[in-house]
Amino acid sequence: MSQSTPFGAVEFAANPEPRCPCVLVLDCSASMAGQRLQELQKGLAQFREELLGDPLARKRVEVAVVTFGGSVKLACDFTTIEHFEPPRLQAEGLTPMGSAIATSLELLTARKQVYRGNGVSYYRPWVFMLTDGEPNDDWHAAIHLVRDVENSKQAAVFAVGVGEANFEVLRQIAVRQPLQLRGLMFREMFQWLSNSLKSVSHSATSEEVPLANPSGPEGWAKV
Amino acid sequence: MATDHWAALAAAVAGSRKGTRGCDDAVAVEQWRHGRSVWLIAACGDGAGSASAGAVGSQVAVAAAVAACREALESRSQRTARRDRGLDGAAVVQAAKQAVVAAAQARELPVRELATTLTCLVAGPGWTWIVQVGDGAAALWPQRARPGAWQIALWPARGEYANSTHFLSDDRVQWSERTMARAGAVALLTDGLLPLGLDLARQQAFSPFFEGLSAELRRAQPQQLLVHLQAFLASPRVAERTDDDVSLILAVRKSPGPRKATGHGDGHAAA
Repeated sequence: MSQSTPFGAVEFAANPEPRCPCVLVLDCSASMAGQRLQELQKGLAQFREELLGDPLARKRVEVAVVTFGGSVKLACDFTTIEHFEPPRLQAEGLTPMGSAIATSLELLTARKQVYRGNGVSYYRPWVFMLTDGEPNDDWHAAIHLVRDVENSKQAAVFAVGVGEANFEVLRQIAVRQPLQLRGLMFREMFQWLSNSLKSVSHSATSEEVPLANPSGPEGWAKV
Repeated sequence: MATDHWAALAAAVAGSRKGTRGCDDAVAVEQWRHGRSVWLIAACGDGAGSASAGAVGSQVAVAAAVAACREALESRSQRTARRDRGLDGAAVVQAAKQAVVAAAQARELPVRELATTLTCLVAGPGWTWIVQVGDGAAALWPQRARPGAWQIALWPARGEYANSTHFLSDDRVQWSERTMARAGAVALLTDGLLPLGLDLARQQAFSPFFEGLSAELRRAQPQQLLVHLQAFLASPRVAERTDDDVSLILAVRKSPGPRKATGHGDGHAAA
């Protein structure tokens, strides 16, 4: 053998990692003030830690945070977990949920274009919305937007209600069964979300990634 | 009479994330001789991680595809053999699918539980033919191209998302085929290696990857290299870029003619 380690000098293409985008759409209206928002804030920090500990997920999962309380704000634009700093959440105002959903879906469309333009492959994006109330803006357009993206598999949209959230409305908006958070189990919810995103970001050629059922006896949700 | 032959290497290694779960990829390679000519027949498949018997699916599919190619070569008449430019893609895909369906029935499983991709290549004296289902890839260096100018035969067929592709088990199998020039070297890879061997932004082969691999095979005996290829595929260098199963078939044509003073004396080693 002419070399001590055959294949030791093989070069690899310098490709970017495939991306797994996730938009967190968080209700920061006045009713979230106090313990709810504190627990949500802690959950968000834990979400970051969980994904940071996974060498592939930290490079592949991209998070954006849209808040709705008084107005809709882009609290954090898409960034990989490595660079994600959970924004400081503040509760104020009413609940413009309809426009928060529209903003989130626009954000995703733009992000996909960035991926395509840079030859980056990606997984089906997730929109994860959390609310403790009901929309006070025109949310009927959101029904069609969500239905369109779900039917065309452009994104998976999850809705989670906390406390007195209006499930009548959530059921109309989300194609998937909305979930009701047990108590303030935000940490468990974010643990589930990070585990699910880890599974997706590690998947290679599987059509559907099976998710753990969050509404099992030990889960964080009720349906 | 001295003839061409191929030096070939094939390995499939379980991905780093899978722990005790085995490898769902499968590889098969053989050489078929006729008169003074030799054909390389190679196939690789990637059993879907979401399917319970993906490993069975990929093994059955690659074995059936290689057999179907060999039988197609054997059954050609002298006359058609001179004119043809590749094999019948529909027939090879059909043979592989039938084998997967039969294996599913024998196990009383739905066919989708044996979901697998398939990339199959036949490299003859005059042409190279590739048929593909899903997101594997075949790369080749046409012998008349400048050294190192590798080409991807068919771009891996993916849906919009990184984790969606077509499978042999789909109701309507989506496949494509292509006939290319006589190859001096070929490589088949499953999707785990795509981030390493393909320049995704430019949609072309990353030639240094394939050239680095095939250069070793030109120098040394395949038997001696196999263990090194397996070690390479399982190495942290590869694992840090992908945690999927990785498989690779690599073959270089070794022509007779003036033996170069390589000092190895391996100019006529058969695979």
